[in-house]
Order: sequence, then structure tokens, then C-alpha cells
Amino acid sequence: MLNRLIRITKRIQKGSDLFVMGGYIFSIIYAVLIILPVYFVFVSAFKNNSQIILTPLALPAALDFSKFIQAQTNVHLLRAGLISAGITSGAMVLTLLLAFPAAYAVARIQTRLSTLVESIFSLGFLIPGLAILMPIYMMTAKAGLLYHPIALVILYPAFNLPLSMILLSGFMRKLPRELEESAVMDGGNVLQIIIHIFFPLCAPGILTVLVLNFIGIWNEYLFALILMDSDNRTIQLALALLRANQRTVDFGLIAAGVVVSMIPVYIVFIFFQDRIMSGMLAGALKE
Amino acid sequence: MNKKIFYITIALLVIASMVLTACGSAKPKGPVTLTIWHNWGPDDTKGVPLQSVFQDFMAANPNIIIKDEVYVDADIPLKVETASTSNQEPDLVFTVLFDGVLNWTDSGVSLPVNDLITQWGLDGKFTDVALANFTQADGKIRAFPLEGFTWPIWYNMKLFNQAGLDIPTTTDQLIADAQVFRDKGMGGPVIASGIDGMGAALFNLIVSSMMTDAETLQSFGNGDWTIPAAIAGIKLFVQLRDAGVFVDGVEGVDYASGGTRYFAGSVPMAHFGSWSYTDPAVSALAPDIKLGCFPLAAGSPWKHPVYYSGFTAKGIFITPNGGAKIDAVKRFIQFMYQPDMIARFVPAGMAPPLKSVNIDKSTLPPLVAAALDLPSICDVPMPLDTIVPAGVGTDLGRITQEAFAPGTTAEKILADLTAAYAAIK
Amino acid sequence: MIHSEKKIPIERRIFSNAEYGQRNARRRRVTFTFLVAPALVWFLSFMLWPLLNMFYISTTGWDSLNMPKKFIFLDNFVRMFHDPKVAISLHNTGIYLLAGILGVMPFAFMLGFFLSLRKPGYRILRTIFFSPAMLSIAALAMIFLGVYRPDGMINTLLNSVGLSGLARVWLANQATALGALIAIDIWGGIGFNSVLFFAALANLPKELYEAAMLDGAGYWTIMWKIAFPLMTDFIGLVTILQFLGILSGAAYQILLTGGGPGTATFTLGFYLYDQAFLSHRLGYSQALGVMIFFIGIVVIVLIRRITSRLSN
Repeated sequence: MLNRLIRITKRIQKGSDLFVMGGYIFSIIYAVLIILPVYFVFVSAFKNNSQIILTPLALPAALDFSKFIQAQTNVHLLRAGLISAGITSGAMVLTLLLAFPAAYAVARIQTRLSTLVESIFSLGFLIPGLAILMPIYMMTAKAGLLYHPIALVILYPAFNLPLSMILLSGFMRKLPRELEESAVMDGGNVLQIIIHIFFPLCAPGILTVLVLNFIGIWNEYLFALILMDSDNRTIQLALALLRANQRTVDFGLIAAGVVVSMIPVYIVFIFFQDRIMSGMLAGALKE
Repeated sequence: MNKKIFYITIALLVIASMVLTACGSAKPKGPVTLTIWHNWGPDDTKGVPLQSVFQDFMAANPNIIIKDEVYVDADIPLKVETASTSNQEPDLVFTVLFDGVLNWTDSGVSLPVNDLITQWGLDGKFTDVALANFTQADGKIRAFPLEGFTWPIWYNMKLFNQAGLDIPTTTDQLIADAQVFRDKGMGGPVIASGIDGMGAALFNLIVSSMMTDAETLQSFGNGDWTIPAAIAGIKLFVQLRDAGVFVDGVEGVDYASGGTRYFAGSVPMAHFGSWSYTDPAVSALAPDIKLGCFPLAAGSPWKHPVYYSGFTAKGIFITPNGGAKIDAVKRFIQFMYQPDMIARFVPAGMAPPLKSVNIDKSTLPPLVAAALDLPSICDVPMPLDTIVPAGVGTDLGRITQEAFAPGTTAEKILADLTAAYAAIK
Repeated sequence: MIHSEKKIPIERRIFSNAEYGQRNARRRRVTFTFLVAPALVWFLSFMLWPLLNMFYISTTGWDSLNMPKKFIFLDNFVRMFHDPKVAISLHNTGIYLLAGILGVMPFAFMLGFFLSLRKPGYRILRTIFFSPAMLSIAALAMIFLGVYRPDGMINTLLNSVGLSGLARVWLANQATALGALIAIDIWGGIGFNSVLFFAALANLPKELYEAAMLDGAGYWTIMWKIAFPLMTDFIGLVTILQFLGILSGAAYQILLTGGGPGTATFTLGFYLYDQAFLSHRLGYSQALGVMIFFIGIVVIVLIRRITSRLSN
């Protein structure tokens, strides 16, 4: 009997080990497929056009930072980065403030309005950005906010609400019902429940939504182009300008700009995932 | 602890951005400010001369301030049009005359400049070609012509000499040369970027080489692809392609990699414009390069090999907002179009739109100087920028891409072209 | 301390189960509205009028922003019906959707599950997998031109291992152009969605798996018999996201092929962009937008129906 149990356990272990091994193999192959292109962009920042095109994956001969300096002097990349950082953080915070309570309501409060509201937000995905370009420009001009980064801080949450709402409510539905009941027992009202219980527990979901918002706003081009002027350009606008005109391209220059623009994104992702992951695990252990 | 850092960082960033933008949006008071949008940034060879013109102008006109803003050239039309709907457009726009910009005069985004040319003493100063490029069918002149471009064929004489060949003057010679190059392992001699608009220009050139300007207007302008000359042009292109005149895989080559391969010295012929004359990658190869034009086929109505040149690369447009500051604009335009101001741009590869600009050839970069000889040895077919109707442009691009791919028949190309033009009727 | 039901005031029973009945339904609705209102108002102010505007403009013959609008009723839609390019874009978009969803979702789910097991190195893998989503348009253009060029990375690799017969002009070949673009979406989509799945699966208690393993189940079984059923709603959600992204997507076409060669990569999203920005037919482009809108609604409803049936 014991032997049989041991054999079954060993077979499961083998099956599980096979799974894990398979998982690792697939993951590593896929990871390489992702790392190679990113590496390509990274090393290109140190090369000239002909090296980039003829020997794309070769290591650069020397760490020549001239392209980075050129990118900065040509389009004031760092200032653009700062402006983008300000706009992005402002918009991210605003989106979370708006989306979190709404997602909670949709996910956890039993009322017929839930599906209606969720559908309204889903429609947001179907509106092509182009369709709203003109009306939004006019609204911004009338409000006197043209060329002011605040305009984007106010605008971007509207674009991000559908995704954030839907993802957050999706995550929240997974949590057990008892959470509210025990909080109610302890005498909490809505806001307290949201802030003290749900917020920490939804950490992976919040992290994901924050990172997605960050990326979406950081990489947004069309509205930043139309609503900002050259003094207030965002980092993507600055990047686009690295290409002097549509006919000549210095790939190394563009790569340098791209590398600079991607560093904050990576930092945000890595920073957040570590901090909030450990916070979440600590929370889970307490339960 | 982590939350605190997070909140503090965000607060700092938001504050920083507000401070920056507060500083950025301070506007000078008092003197007139001319807002000018262009794409000649610090990286562009014409950026430095432009800034010098601005500086000298402001020094000579202390009550006028120029606020110039640099944007990507492809974005400028959209920005101007959007801004125009709320009367927020800049005063002057430096942009290429192409596609949507063709509608600006009629839709009121820009003002016609016929009267201004006369009133400001510029009558007769512009070259005929420059003015013609900017004149609409109804006689209105759209803008002040600024940047002249040339778009020749770049022959790498070193490779030609290696193969023991001369520059071809007929397409039959070109086909024979192509065979020689291939036999020697050098691949097809002509590189073009089949995948983007730059390759389309070569397609247009080859097809137009079989047509008179009237016939080009009929076909490319009005969509009549049944005329024999147009059919001959398409057939010529297919014949050249099938004879191996282009490099292998030309349909997938992009402008940048085409340039890289050519400047690496491995391709005998390329079709590049004057914007590349001063490209740093050129300097090593420059002694070997001879600028010329595309050879003619039997039956062509032209007398000399053909190339594109014109002035649609950049014009200075005046908007209604600029019209409200007409005095300041007048001063600027008059300043800008002095021959020695225009002359500052010539070493960057720009052909001047004025008749009397003194150019000292010896001070010019080699290719820029060589390009000045082109008009005497080549013919210029009608450029397509101003005659292709809006709505067909992107279709043309896709059809050209297909045309470069082996296996596409002349019949298919003609059918696609006919359908594309029919679709907009 | 023991709280008996009778001692809890009515306001604090808001979130209890149905047994609390009608009285609380109104209370719930009030709280609901209060929580949802800011987001809803924000969203509607920026999206509602433009959406209505889109419907309105689709009935005009408007050429470009500064030309006059001519009201032409449903002419745009009639034109759409006869337009061969619409049929082509529907066809291409259909292929794109099929490949883009079937090629991404199963793998993303499995990868997300694997990540949620938190085996050593999962954090690094997660960052790597998310990288494609972090790349901006400029970076993507540069990368994939470098990958797909005739002398680019793929062909160089094929040549170096002796498979030069397989080398193609990927972006300019009728047969491979669409596939090349779809491959980019699959490349990025698997990684991106796997991180989303991780975030959802990470919330599941470990005990769930442990119990199953004690009963003799391996990871593969757990993945499909336990994690998958629990995630059906979320999978539906993520599929809707992926679907909508592909339906209205045009970025790679704009960057790399311009809809060509011929019409090989001509999709709905690109057609809309082309008509609005390149061909200057705003009215028609908004009509296309309306069509995309309704297709989107239909599919969202469909996917929701499927997932709710699956989870029952």
C-alpha cells in the first residue's frame, strides 16, 4: 500500500517535474526571442547606420555615447522625459482614484446597474482615437488648456478607464465573499472596506493596471502631438524628432533615444513588482 | 516606507513637470511674435542656416520676435489643420507641397500669395519652375516656393570601371550592363526602396519616361491607363525588372538599408535625392559617385536621360493668423528671400527658387556642385506630387510595391491602377 | 466577541446576501452610484460626445478637417457595401483575429500558470515577457524592419544554417506579409497576456493546488481542471481585449507595409486610418468606424455568452 502510494507520488512528481521542465524550456526559448530584439536596439545605440544594418547583433566596437549626447542636444530628451514622467504619474494616480471605487462597485455590489455600467465602459474600447481627436482639441482649446501638460493629465484617464475598470473588476471578482461580511461584522463602512481590505489584496491587479496605464500613457503619440507644442513635448514626440526628416534615418540616434525612453518604464515595472509582490505575500500570509 | 517613497516621488514629479511647463509657457510681451512651424531641426543640414537667418532677422528687426517650433514633417499638416479649426494655427508654415496640403488654399488654411508677391517686390524674382510648381489650376499661387530638390541617379563609377562598363544611355544598355554585373557576382545594379515611397518615385520616373507631360497628366492625373504611352511605360518597368536590373529582393528594401548598402560601396546605381548629398555616410564614397539620370528606352519622347527635380520640397505658407500680422510677415519674407539669405541654404543641397543667387561652386560639397550640372544634361518629366488626386496616393504606393515584386505582370499593374483611380470617382 | 445579527444596524448590512432583500437593494444602488459616478462622468465627458460625433460624421461627405461637410445620409454605408476593399479588409482582419487569438490565448494561459507557480526565476521571466508591451512604436519599427528585411536577421539566420531556400522577402511577399505581421502580434501577445494571467492566478490560494496534488493530480491536470474553470470569466475578458486590439489595430501596417503589397495586409483598422489620415475621406472613415463599433459589440456579447455558459 505504501509502496503503491510512493509510486503514485513519484509518477506525479515526474509528471509535475516534466511540466516544470517543459515550462522552463518554453520560457527560455521565448525569453531569448524577446531579448534578442531588445538587445539589438540597445547595442544599436552605440553604432552607426552601416554597422546596424550589416551586423545588427554584433557587440559595439566601443561604448561610444555620442549618440546619447546628440539625442539630448537635438530634442532635449531629458526635459521631455521629465514632462512625460509628470504627466504619466499624474494621470496614473487619477485613473486609479477613479477606477478603483468604480471597479469595486461593479464587481462586488449586487445590483442590475452593474452590467449596464460595465457595458458602457466596454464601449470605450471601440472608439478609435482618431474619431475623438477633433472634438477633444476643440474642448481643450476652449478650456484654455492648449499646450499645457495638465490637459493630458485630465484627458488620459478617460482613455484608460475602460481597461483599468474592467481588469480591476475582473480581479476583484475572484476574491471571496466573506471578506465583506467579516468587515461588516467588525463595523466598517464602504470606504473603509475598500481602502483597508480590498486595496492591499488587489495588489497584483493594481500593479498590472498601473503598469499598463504607465506604458499606454508613456507611449501615447497622437494626442500628445496635437495638444502639446514644442516647448511641452512628451518623450515620444521628442523621439520622433530624432529622425531629422522622413527621408534620412540615423538608426543609432533613434536607438539611443529609445533606450533612454525605455529606462523609466523598466524601472517602474521592476520597482513595482518587487515592492507590491512582497506586500501582497505578507498580506496573504496574515490571512 | 515603500508607499511613502512612492507618493513622494509622484508628488515631486508632478511638481517638476508643472514648474517646467510654467516656465515654458511664459510668453514675451510687447513686440510682434511670429510663430513659425517647420521641420528643420538642429539635426537637419538646413537647420543651422535657418537659425542663422532667424537670428540675423531679429537683429535687424528688434520689434519682431520669431518663435519657431520644430515638428516631424509628416505631422505638420495634421497639426496645422487641427489647429486651424480653432484659429490656433501658427503664422507661417514651412511644409512640403503634397497630398492634403494641396487643399489648403481652397479650404482657407493658407492664403494665396499672388498679390503679396507683387506688393512685396518679389515679382520676377522666382524661377519659372518654382512658381509653376506652386500655382494651382485656377491661377492662385499657394505659397512662397523655398526648397528645390533634385533626384538623380547615383552611379558608382568605381564599380562600373571594375566591370568595364560606361554609364548606360539607353535601357537596352542598362539591361546588358545588368547582365554583366550579375555575371561578375555583383547582383542587380539598381537599388531602390521597393517597400516605401522612395521606390515609388523610381517607378514613376521609369513609367513617365515613356510619356509626354500631357500623357502623364492623362494617366497619373486622370486615371486613363489605356493610352499606348502609359502601357508602354508599365511594360518597360516590368521588362527592366524581369531582366534583373534591380537588386534581388528590391521589393522589400527600405530607404535606410538601401542607402547603407549603396554607401558601403557595393551597389552600382541608386536613386537618391538631394537631401542625401550632405549625408555623412556619403563623404567616403563621394569621389566615386557620378550624378546622372535614368536612361531612355526606344520610343521615349524625351531627348535626354530623365530625373525628377522641382520645388515642392518646401514652401512657406501664410495662414490667416499670419495674415493678421501682415507687416511682420512682409518684413520676414522680404528678408528671407534676399539672394544671400537663400544662398546660405545651397551648401545643404537645396536648389534655390530665386533666379539670381550667386553660387560659388568651389565652396560647395562635391555632390551639391555636381547636381548643378544636371539641368544641362538631363530632362525633367512632370512631377506627380501635384497631379495625383488625393485618395489614390496610398493605393499607388501599394501597387508600386507589388510592381517591384517578381511575377507581377504588366496587365495586373494596369488593372490595379485603373481600379484605384476608378474607386475615387 | 460575538455579534448577533439583530444588533447590526441596517446601514451595515449593505453587502450581505440576497436574504436581506428589497430594502437593501435601493441602499445598494445609492452606494453603487456614489462609487461609480466620478469614473462614469469622467469617461462620458470625453468619450460620449465624440462617439456620437463619429456616428454623425459617418453620414457626411467630409474630406478633410477644413473642408465643408456635406450631409449625404447613408451614402457612405452604401459605398461600404460595394467597396471591394471592405471585403478584403474583413477577410484579412478575420485571418488576423483567428491566428492572433488562437495563437496567443492558450500559450499565454499556460505560461501565466507556469509563472504563477513561482518557480525560481519567475520574476525575471515575467519582466522579460512583459518587455514587448513596453516597447514604443519607434522601437518596434526599428526592430521589425531589422528582422524582416531581405538582408535582415531572419534571412541571415536562415542562410547561416543552410536554410536559404526558406528565405523570403517577408514584408513584400504576398504570401508571407500578413503572416509576418501576425507573428509580431503573437510574439508580443503571448508575453503580455501571460503576465495578465499571472496577476489573476496569483490570487488563488496555494492550498487549492496542494489539495489537488495530494489527490494525485499533476500540474497539467491542475492547470486545466482547476485553474482554467476558475479563470473562465477572466480569460473571456482578456480575449475581448486581445480581440478589440486586433480589430482596430493598424500600427504594424502603418510602420511596415502600408497595407501592401497589393492588399495583402489591408485590415479594417488600417483602412480607417488610411481613409482618415492619408486619403482624406473623413466621413467614410467614420462610417468604417461605425462598422467596427458594431462588430465589436457583437463579439463582446458573444464572448461573454460563451464564458458564462462555460463557467456554469
